[in-house]
Amino acid sequence: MSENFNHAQIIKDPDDNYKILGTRPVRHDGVDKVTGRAIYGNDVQLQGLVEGAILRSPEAHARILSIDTSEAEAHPGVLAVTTSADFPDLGDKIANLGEGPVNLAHLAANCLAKDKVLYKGHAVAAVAAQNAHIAREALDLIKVEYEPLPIVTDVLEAMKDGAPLLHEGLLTNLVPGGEKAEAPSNISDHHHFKRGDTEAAFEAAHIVVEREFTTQTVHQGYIEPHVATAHWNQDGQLTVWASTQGSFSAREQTSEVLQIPISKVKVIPCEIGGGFGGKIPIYLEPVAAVLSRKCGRPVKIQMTRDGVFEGTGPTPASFMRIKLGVDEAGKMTAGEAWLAYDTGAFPGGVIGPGVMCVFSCYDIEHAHIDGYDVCVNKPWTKAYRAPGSTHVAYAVESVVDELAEKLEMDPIDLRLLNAAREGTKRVDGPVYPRIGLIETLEAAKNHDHYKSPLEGPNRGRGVAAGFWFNIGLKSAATAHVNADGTVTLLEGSTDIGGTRTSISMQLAETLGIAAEDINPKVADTDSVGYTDITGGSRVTFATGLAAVEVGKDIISQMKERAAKLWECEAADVEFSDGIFSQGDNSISFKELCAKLSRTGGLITARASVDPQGFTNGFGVHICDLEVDVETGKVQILRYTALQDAGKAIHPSYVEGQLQGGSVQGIGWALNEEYLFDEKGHMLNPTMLDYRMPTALDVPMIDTVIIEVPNPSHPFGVRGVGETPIVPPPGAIANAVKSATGIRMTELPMSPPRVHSAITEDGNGAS
Amino acid sequence: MGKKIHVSTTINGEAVEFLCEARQSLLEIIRDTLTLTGAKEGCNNGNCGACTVLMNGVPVDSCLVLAVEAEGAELETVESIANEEHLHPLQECFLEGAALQCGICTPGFLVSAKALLDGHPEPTEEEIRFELSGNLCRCTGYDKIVRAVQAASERMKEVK
Amino acid sequence: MAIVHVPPQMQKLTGGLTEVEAEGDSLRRLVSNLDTAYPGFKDRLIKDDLVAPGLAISIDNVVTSRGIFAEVLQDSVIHIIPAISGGR
Repeated sequence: MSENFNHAQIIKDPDDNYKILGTRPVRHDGVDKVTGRAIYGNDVQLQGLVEGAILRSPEAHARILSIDTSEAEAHPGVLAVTTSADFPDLGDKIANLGEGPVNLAHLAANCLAKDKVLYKGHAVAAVAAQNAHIAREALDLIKVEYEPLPIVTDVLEAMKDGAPLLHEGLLTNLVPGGEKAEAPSNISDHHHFKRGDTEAAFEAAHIVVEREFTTQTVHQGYIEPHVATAHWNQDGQLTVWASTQGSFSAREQTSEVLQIPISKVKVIPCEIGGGFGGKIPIYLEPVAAVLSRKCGRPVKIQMTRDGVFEGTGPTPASFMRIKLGVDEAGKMTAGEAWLAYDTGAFPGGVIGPGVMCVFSCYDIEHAHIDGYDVCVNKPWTKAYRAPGSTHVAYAVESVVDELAEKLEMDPIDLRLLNAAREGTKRVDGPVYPRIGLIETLEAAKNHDHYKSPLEGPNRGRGVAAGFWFNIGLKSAATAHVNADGTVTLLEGSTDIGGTRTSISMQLAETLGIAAEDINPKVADTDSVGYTDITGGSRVTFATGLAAVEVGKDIISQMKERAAKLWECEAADVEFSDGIFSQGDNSISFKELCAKLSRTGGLITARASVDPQGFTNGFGVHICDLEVDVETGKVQILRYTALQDAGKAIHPSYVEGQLQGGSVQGIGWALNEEYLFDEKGHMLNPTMLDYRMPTALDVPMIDTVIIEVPNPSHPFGVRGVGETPIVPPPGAIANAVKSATGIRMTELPMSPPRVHSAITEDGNGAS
Repeated sequence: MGKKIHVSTTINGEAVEFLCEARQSLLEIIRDTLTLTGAKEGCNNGNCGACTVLMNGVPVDSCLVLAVEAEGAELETVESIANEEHLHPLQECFLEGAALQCGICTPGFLVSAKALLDGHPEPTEEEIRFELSGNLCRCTGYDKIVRAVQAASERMKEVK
Repeated sequence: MAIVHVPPQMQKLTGGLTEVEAEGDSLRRLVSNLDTAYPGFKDRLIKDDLVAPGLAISIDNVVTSRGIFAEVLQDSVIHIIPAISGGR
């Protein structure tokens, strides 16, 4: 074939001799997705379907005095109107919903505000009508009386005594394991870790660098807006067609908010147009459900794009202070981090992973970390690809770069000297198993990109490392073996980027058949066993593991059938490379499938797994760029992402994760931010003004996959999806420093910020 | 709201007629009335390109076109790119080159890329990036999309 | 005896000890023994038979999802860390 799709360099594990794993079959859902036939959330068509719209608050902080919906209800074509008054009172119930604890009262009050609105864009009421135009007309007829309250949107301001309080009774949790603080504030959590004697270690250090950094709110930016369709049947059965990262999680959240049993809720996952963490929480599902109950018809609500920006959970803005000390040789001896992330309107942000990731790439003996989650009058922040890790990597990798400069050391050598490896104890305690940071750094150092010279004015090169966890969590799968030698695989992980195929390939490898002979289906919550969210870089790992277990079950059942054919003991039947054998007898998987119906019927196998423990993925990125000193615009010239990916099941999709994550990180580094006015109104809630990278903004993204097998998966799989977003802001900031001599301590490094930094530097220095 | 307006148009080679309100976009009619849901709504204000269709051979954001403007026009959507038996080389290359992840932007990219290759069979990388810069993709980082268009251009040359 | 690393926010309970030893072949027994030695320990870690919201327990460097039913070995090392919250 003439095409060069330019595959990644793969540094393989020498023991690897798989047949299916590592190949690049076309994804099973591919044809539907290139012909427009795939059914996404907004493509659902149902008998009698009507459309809904959401009324959002114009105030960033206000008490709701009254809501009058009578005129809207009387509007021709309107079928139902709802407010939080139609929802059960949930008190302060905290539920463990698969991926973590959720305060149900907050979850419900974010779907529709109760007595207060806490941010501009907070949902207040909803309408169902014959079509979306009429529904939106009716929104204008709902009269809401607000009593405006003072607002606070900056994370440091919100921490001060006397700041306007979003939640009057909020007492800070001291984490981990502490009690609650005594006086209310906007600080929902204070995390604290300490190891060794940082004071003495800094005192004794050869060089100490301390810097402060800020980052702004950024959004996941999936192209498909949130959408949900609900039908509340007269028998009390609720069916939800959702665009969600987890159909079981959406079912649990919906049933808890509505206080109906989970058995009364069926969630049918549609194809999902991107999530990146933002489609784990629910927003529309219970609202569409209540509207449907009121009007007796299925109701579909799709958010507007400004609704997505203003009403769903972006990732926090932050303030960070990082201090690192090294000895003469460059060995890091002491680290200190003070981190404040805004959680937006409700408690429960991502500072936890922030404090665990801040020094996770390095072995530092003396360390002290404080991290705060702080409520502000902005949308309730949610997970975004390696939540909390990109912030701290930007800050720490900038400081590490500065240390390398001061030590006159190669920045990769400094990282190699201090890199975490098997046996390194993280600041929060646990000790790393086999990890691949060293291998990844070495691959970066030996890469053509790093070794080739970079010439020209205002050009610079930067490197940075990044870390993220992979979580395990629960997955289930069921398989039906067909008489023609194919296998139908039912699984519950919504497929955002080709996971049907990466899971099927693991089953195919186990059975010794072709990936194309597996027919995967993402099933609804009534049709497959409980499966946690698509997130945490877990699906290829955990649902893949379920598929492997299903494969083992199929093999053991088929050995019994072969034993019947050959009148021997099943224990004497061997299976290898798709062939069952015993003595002189042998039969292929496919041939045996044809005999199943005569030896006891066709086979069904199932598995439900809950792998314990998480593994870790490390990435190292190299970036060349040029700064236009006249305008402050940064152009990326060359970019290479290297990652310890464990076994790359489908290398194209691993490359795709590295490339896509890198470009999201580039957008975060260079342009993306929520801009607010003094009233807390977002000024740029469109995809034109919230400036995500286009094809013209970025070069090709080179990738290197380093296969350091994960000891806790039979094929050595590590999750790869999230780590790639972590290094880019640090790598780019370091490259900007190398290009201009200026260290950018604020994200994004947008043209106005870079330009004014250059201007100020010029004025100050010369 | 007023009376509905009658519109005659051609879509994917078939003559169709529909009734619409003056305020309805072409995207709404294509998706909801004609049930061709391949074109996607990502922003409804012309910024993301997920709703791209060809109108008289020119790519347009169908969310920015009023349905009444389709009177007498020739429209092509993603549904018309493959023929009865075969995928278009662009579709093949998108699949073989893994140029989609979630796939929501894919119909828009395919329509834009087809318009590009129809008028300009051997574009440079820069030209591809420029012509596709009206289509946003949040998953792929564009690398594999650009390469798939390059590969399709090669493949179409071989077929000729 | 298993070793439990006490995070700073809990060290008030242990009189400043950063590390304590305890018996118990499950997390439930272990925590209950710890609570006898350091009253209040259980309240902080366990809510309604589950690991308290926002927390995770690492046993021998593996974060357990088995909650109080997690197995603890004679020489296990236990860390109390934040849960990775809110999905990803």
